[in-house]
Amino acid sequence: MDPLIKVVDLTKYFPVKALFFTRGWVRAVDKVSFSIFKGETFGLVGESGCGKTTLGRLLVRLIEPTSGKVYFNNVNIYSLKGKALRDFRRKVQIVFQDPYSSLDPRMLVFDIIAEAIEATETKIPTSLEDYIISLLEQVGLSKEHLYRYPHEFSGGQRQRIAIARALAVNPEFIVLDEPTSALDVSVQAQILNLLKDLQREYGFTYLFISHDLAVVKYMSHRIGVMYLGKLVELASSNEIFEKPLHPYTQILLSAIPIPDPKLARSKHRIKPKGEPPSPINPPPGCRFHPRCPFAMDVCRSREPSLVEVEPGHYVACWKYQKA
Amino acid sequence: MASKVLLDIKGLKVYFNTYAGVVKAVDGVDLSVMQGESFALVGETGCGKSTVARAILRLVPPPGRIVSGEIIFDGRDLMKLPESELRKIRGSEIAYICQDPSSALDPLFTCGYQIAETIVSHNTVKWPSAFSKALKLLTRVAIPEAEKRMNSFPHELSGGMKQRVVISISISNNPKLLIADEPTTALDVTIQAQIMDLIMSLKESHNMTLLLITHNLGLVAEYCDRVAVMYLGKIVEVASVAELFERPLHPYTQGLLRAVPNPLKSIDYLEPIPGIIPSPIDLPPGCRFHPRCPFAMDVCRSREPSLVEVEPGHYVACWKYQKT
Repeated sequence: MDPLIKVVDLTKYFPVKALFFTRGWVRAVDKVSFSIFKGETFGLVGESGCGKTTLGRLLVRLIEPTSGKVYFNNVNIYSLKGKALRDFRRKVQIVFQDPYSSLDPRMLVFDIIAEAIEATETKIPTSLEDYIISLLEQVGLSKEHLYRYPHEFSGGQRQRIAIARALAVNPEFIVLDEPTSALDVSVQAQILNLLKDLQREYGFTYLFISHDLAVVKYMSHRIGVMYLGKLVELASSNEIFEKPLHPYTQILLSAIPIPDPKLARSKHRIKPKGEPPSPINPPPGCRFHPRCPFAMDVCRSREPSLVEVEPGHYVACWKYQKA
Repeated sequence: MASKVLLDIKGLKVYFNTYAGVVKAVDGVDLSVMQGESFALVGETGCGKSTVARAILRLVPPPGRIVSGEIIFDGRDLMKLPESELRKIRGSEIAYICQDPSSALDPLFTCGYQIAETIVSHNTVKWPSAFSKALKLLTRVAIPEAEKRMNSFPHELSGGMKQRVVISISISNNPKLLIADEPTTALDVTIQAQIMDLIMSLKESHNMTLLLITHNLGLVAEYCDRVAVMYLGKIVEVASVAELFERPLHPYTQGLLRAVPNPLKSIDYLEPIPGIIPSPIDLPPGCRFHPRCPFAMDVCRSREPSLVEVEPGHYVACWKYQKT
C-alpha cells in the first residue's frame, strides 16, 4: 500500500524569547518520521506538551517546519507555491479541539461553511445553499440551523459544524486535533461514530490526535505514541494495547482508569515516577530515562532511534536494540 | 465499612437566578455518605455535581442560593450554623480540593506560607511550629525537595505539584471529610494516577471519608466504594460501585456506561445516548431524562419518579422499576 503521507525527519523548534534575545528552543517536534496510509486512521497519543498538536499543524502546513519534509502524494508540501499550494489546502483539512474558538462568533453557519468553499474555489454540484444543507444533514444537523450563529449551539453541535466545514471542500486527509476533548462522554460517542461513518462512506484518511488512549484505540488502525517531541512507539492499535514495548507506553496504558471495577482492580500497574521534564532542555540520551524504571547506562548518554522490532511494530528504546 | 452516616443531605435545592430564568442546578438531592468510605458523585457537565459539593460548605457563589434542604454533618445541621461556626468547620473538619490548582493557590504567597496559614487559622499553634508542620506535610505528599518548595511561589510549580500543595493544605487539619471536586481533570493521565494514589493513601492514613466528584467513570471504578449518578440536578441512581457497573438500572446510567470506550476491550461501535442535554432553565416535565430515554412511557412524560430502594443498597429513580 502506498503511503498518502510520508513524514521524514520532521523538526519544529520554537524560540523562547527573553526581551530581544533567544534564550533557548522548545523542541516541540524533533526528527519524527512515519507514514500514513490511504484510508486509515492514524492515532497520535501523548501527554500535554509532547508536540502532538504541533505535528498535526505541520502536516497541513499551518506552520512551517524548522527542517524535514512531508510528502503528500509524493510531493513535498513545503515546496508548494501558488496554485499548487491552494490545491493542497483543499485536499487537507483540520478540525480543532475547541469548537468555541474555531468558529467565528459573528458569522452565520451558512457563511462559515460557504467561506471554506469560496476560499478554496471548490466546485460544487448544486446551488450553494442546497450543498450546505446536504453537508449539515450529513453531520446530523438540519436546514433550520443554516442561519444561526455559533453561540446558539451546544459544544457537540459546534463540533458538527466544524466537521461540516472540513467536509465542504471534499478533502482527502483530515487532521482531527482532540475533536472530543471539550465534550461530555455521551456527546463524545456521537461525534466519534459520526467520524467513523464519514470515513466509511468517503474513504477519508484521518490523523486522530488525542490524549485519551481509550478514544484513540476506538478510532485508530495504527497508533503512534509521542513523548517530548519524539515518536517512541508505533504499531497497530491492537498491538499497542496487547503488547506495548516502550516503557512509556506501558506506563501510559497502566495509568488509564478502566471503567470496569473488576478489571480495574486486578490489573497490574506500573507506577510512573516524576513528571515530564521541560521540552526546552530535554534530558540527554533517551528523553524518557529519568522516569524510566528500566533505565540503563546507555539510555543516559545515547538517544535510541525508532526501529522495527517486529513486522509493523516500531519502538525507540535501548531494551530492544543493540547499542 | 463503618455504618455510621457522616454526611446526610436531605432535600437539597440550589437555584441560580439568572436573567434568562431560574436555573435549578440542584433540585431535591438526598445523599448519605458513610464514615470511612469513598463515595463518588458522577455526572456530565452542568448536572449540578460541583454545586452539591459547594453547597455542603455553604459556598455557593451568587446568584446561586440554597433554597432548602438539610446538610447534617457529624450530627450538626450545617444549614443552621452561624457563619462563625461554619468557618471553624471549613478547612478543618471538611476540606475541599478543587479542579484547578492554579486558581486555588494565591500567586503572591509561598506554598509554605499558604499551608502554615491554614494550620494557624484553625489551631492555637504559633507560626514557627506551623511552618515545620507544613514542611512535614509537603514531604508527606511526596513533593521532591520539599524544603526548597516551601519557599516556592505557585507559578514555579507544575500542575501536578500545585495539586499536591493543595492536597497538603486540605489535610493540614486532619479533616473528617475530604471533598475532591474533579481533582485530576486538569492533569495528564500519568500524573492523574499519581495524584489519585496519593489521595487514597492519605484517606487511609488519616482515616478520612472521601467524596469524589468526577465525570470520569474509570476513576469511579478504580477508586470508589459507592457511587451516585446525577442528571440535571437530580440523583438518578445510587449503588455500590461493583453493583452499578455490573447491573446499572437507570437508562441514563446504562447509556453512560455504554458510551465510554473501554481500552481493554475491542469495540466496533459505541452506542451514544441520543439527543442533547436539555437546558437547565427549561426542564422537561416528568422524568428529566425522558426525551433521551429509549424506554420512555407515558407516565415518564408527566410525573417525576422518586429515588426508591429496589434492591438492598441500590436506589434508582425510574418508573421502569416502580409502580405508578
